[in-house]
Amino acid sequence: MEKNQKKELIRKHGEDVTGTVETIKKELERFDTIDLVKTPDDNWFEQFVAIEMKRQKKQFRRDLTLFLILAAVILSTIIFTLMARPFFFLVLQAAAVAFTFFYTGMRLRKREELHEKQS
Amino acid sequence: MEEKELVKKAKQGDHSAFSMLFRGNYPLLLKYLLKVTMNPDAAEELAQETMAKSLEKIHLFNGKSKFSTWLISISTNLFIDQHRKRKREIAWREQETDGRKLKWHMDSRREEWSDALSALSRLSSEMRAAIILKHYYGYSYDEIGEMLRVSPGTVKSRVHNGLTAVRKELDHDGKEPKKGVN
Repeated sequence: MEKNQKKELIRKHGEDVTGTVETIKKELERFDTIDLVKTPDDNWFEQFVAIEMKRQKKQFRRDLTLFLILAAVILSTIIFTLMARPFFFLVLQAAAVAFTFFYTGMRLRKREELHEKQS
Repeated sequence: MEEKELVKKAKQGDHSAFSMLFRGNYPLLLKYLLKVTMNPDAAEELAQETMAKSLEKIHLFNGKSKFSTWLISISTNLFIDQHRKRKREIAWREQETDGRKLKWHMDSRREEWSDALSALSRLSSEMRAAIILKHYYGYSYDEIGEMLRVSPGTVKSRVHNGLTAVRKELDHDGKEPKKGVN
């Protein structure tokens, strides 16, 4: 293909893309002027914020309690096994390390697969 | 009151500052989500989820961008997460239904459902979001990449492929409609 023909094709493609972008922009601008969904009044927003903040505080307290209970259970188990069953304590430690390696490997492989799919 | 002042007060837990921020940015957020989801119900639901998330994460907002940009970024993340959770086939079928729903809403308001909107509704949501963010809201490829959690190169190729698909659809105007681009 000659150089001029190539240039002409690239120019034509550029013009086509610009035209498509302009059409899309014009249509989306028109779309924005149509009231498909109404904006609620000020009261609704105030209520939304109050309810949501209350819910998040409650959720935080629940999560913190659960965390503290779990931490207490895990710590007591570890201390008990360390004192009463040292062999079982070592097995638990090895299992924890093996699980961490396995889980990290799985996550990395999944991320790579997702990246390959996206590109 | 200025946006910076409102954000400062919101960070201190001021309810009315939050509601003023949301009231001011809700129409823009909802209109963005309507264009991306093509479904009024899903757009409203996502807008509320976005506000809830921003309430929780307000301490992370550094004020470098506009508050509206931050909300758009959160909503895009939520939308993409929601989409990834669904299986590809189901997502595509839902997309078709969403396009039809929106067309019905437009028809009932005696507004034209143009070929360009139809072509946009047939794109995959990732492509549609990339095109809208780039060419309607004017964000850079880097900014969109951060929002969609992909590389700027991937955004560029999505925008290019999406525009090519829309152009083809518009060229085929009046002919048999084609299957969606995924």
